[in-house]
Amino acid sequence: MPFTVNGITETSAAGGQDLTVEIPATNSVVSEVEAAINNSRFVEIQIFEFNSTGNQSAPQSTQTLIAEFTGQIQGLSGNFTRLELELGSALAPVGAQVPPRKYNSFLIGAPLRK
Amino acid sequence: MTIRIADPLGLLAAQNGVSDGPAVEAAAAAADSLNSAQMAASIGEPVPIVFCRQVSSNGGIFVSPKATEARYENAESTNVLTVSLMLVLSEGSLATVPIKDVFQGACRKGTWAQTYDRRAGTWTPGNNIGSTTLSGATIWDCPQYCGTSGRYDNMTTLSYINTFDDADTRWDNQVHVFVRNGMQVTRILDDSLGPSNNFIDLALYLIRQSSQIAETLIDTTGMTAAANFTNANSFFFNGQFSESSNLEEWLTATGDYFLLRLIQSKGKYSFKPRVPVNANHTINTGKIDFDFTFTEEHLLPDGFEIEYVPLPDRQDIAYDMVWRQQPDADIGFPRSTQVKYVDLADSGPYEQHDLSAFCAYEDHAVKVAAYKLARRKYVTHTLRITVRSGTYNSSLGIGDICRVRLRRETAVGNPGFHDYIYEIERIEKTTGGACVFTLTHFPIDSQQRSLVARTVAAASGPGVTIDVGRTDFSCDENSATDDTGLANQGVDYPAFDAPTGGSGGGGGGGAGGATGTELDAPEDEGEPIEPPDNPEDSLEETQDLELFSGEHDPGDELNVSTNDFSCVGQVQWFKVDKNTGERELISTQTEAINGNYTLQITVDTIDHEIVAIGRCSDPSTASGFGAPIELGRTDPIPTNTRVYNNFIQTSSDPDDTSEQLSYQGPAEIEISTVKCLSCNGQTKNCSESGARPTYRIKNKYSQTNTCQVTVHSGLPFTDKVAAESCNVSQNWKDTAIDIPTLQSYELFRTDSC
Repeated sequence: MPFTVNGITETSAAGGQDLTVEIPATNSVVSEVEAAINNSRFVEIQIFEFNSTGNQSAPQSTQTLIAEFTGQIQGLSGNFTRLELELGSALAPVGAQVPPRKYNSFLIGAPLRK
Repeated sequence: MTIRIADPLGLLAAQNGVSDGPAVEAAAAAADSLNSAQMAASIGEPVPIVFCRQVSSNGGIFVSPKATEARYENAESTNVLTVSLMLVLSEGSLATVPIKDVFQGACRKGTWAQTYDRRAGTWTPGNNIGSTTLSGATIWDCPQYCGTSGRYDNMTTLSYINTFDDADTRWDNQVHVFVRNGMQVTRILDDSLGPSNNFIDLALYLIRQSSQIAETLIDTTGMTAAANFTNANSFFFNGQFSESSNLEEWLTATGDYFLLRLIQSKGKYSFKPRVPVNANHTINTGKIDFDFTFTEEHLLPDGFEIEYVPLPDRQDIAYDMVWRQQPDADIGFPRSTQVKYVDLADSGPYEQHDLSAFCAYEDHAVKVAAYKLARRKYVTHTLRITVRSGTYNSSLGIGDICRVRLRRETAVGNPGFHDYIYEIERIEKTTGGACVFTLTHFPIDSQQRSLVARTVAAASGPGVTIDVGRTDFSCDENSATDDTGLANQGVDYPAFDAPTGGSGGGGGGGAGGATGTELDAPEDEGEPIEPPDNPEDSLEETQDLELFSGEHDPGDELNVSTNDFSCVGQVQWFKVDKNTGERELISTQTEAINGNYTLQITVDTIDHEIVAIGRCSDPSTASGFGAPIELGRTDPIPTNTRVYNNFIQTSSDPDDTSEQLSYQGPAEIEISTVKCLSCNGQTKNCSESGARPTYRIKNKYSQTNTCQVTVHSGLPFTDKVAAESCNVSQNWKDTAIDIPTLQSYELFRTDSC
């Protein structure tokens, strides 16, 4: 089915590496996309380049892979006929995540107070 | 909601490290006070991660653990104060610390214990300061809220006990520990569990523990290359990580100090060296080959945008690099090394970078400064070009080197060229076909060698070791050379950690039972109008198996059947030290024999757990194998003290099995079918007259703990000395014999010779 995808960015700078895909909201698409976001499945995007001039009846056998991307569905929105998938990874550029563990009452009870 | 903003080229200089952020002038991270008051841990603050590995007497980190529990009590007659502290050393499991490496203030003193995953020490917290009969005694002003206890799940904890005479003001001094080998992780370079000083190992641990990104989105190949780069160039991480941070920001900022950049390519995260490298991962100071040349043929209209590095970021400066001199047997202290070009910036300006939290190698700090200096001096501009799509779409990646050679027609017959080498910082591929490359100038010399790489490779510190300035060691009460490990003493659930009700959150009573709430999982109550929003994933990955477990002894055989692990792949057998958690590979099997991957347990595995890890073939990964699956795990293999019910053949005729003597003992004895001896030890053919069968002791024990053998009959095979020390019957002691140490068919009867 037809879909659109914006550009793929590779960078050494933090943030901004997400990718957006727009896809028709058919029953099968909604079902699969919901399963994918609920279960943190991966989505692979591959963009090929080929010249189809004179080959309208069948796809080209030789295609050039110009970009690929692997990510998870970070955001999902749209309307009744269209879904917009935001693909990326959850390495959040804001908020504190490390060190991963914090002292809590289970670990240390009510600690010494000086 | 997503807010998208443009990525101005002017920001690139700051993003790629050409422009440094504002310098922060502050005390070095390693400049902790030794005699400050003991710190207490607070709910909500991060559990520290001590991450280090001493190599060739360099490395390790001097840490000041915080207390969570304390006990104070004084002697009625002398007013001597006994202070007991329960301290959290680090998240994870650490190797046992020797006595010589624990301090209070600057002195080695006190009685210590160390344990993992539980509360260290057996004392009860509380303030038990009472009255004293000592005339003019000091009133000990100790804390009243001394802590309850917790479960210390996955933490290494310490117990410290010491006494202080009346009026001794040092009772509340901070305790310190010199950790030579920090938290154990699976090292990426040798796939072994143990301490590490590789920044990539720490980065991977944090990424995985923070559960921010899935394993599939980590580029293992790139991470391995980066780990090799830091290892080959001696950029080591020896530090304590305890400041709450944003993971991406911390990885980016700290990666800079290891000359690594955090990149995301094809959706996967990885680190890439900031300088060109050779095949052996050292810095490449030779000719640099560029991967592609962009010319006018590729450039699209308006596809050229250039931004020069602003003057303040190109000014010559002097870098004060702060690192940590870490003596092998003393307290580490911060050092600074000034790095600048000869005859430039003699009187500043100065910029300070504090690496003392993790850097214990002067050359490491100096090379980082050299990189920054060279970037300031040689990198002049950044460039953004928009080009049509081509083969380079899939071949060029972040960090690759390319050349941009564009003809500039400024005079008839005398064209000029914009001809520079660049490093790729950013690639944007649009579905319209156009590619936008954001590039940073990559300065080279006349032989096409990287100026920055050559500066970094040539840089080294003065190499001067400054004396620590300490002359008086008389305050040490423990030996400075005592390598004895701290006692492994602790309790899983302290008696004083009494159940207080509540539910969930810790599997029992006490603090654990009262501090968590776990909601029941939704039960399947039939099909609703709409299916549940979070159904189980039909593509769930394979889970670990438990094909074997529990007690096993040397001599036993462990099997993994191909019925249970059916994919083509490999089974690796590891032994895991029950005390240190150190994991060592025993055997790798890529082919099952008779439908089984098999391991024979030997005495080498005593005091270790045996773990089988299976991995299916996966050509898409760097290793060629997919995610590891734990197939089984034994309890620690004991010294063989199992009591066997055995029979020993007593007839001199090997074929006569009717005469037998039964006994119980810690060893199995089997009769040889091939070797016989006469009663005086001469070899005989077993069919000859007078030939006596020989025996071999299997599973002989090598330790002295045989006291668990309490009953016996017939001839006991145990050690006389051990029997004497055991609480067994006199009959047992009388009949005990020496166990031969040899494990061959040399045991034979000598009676009736």
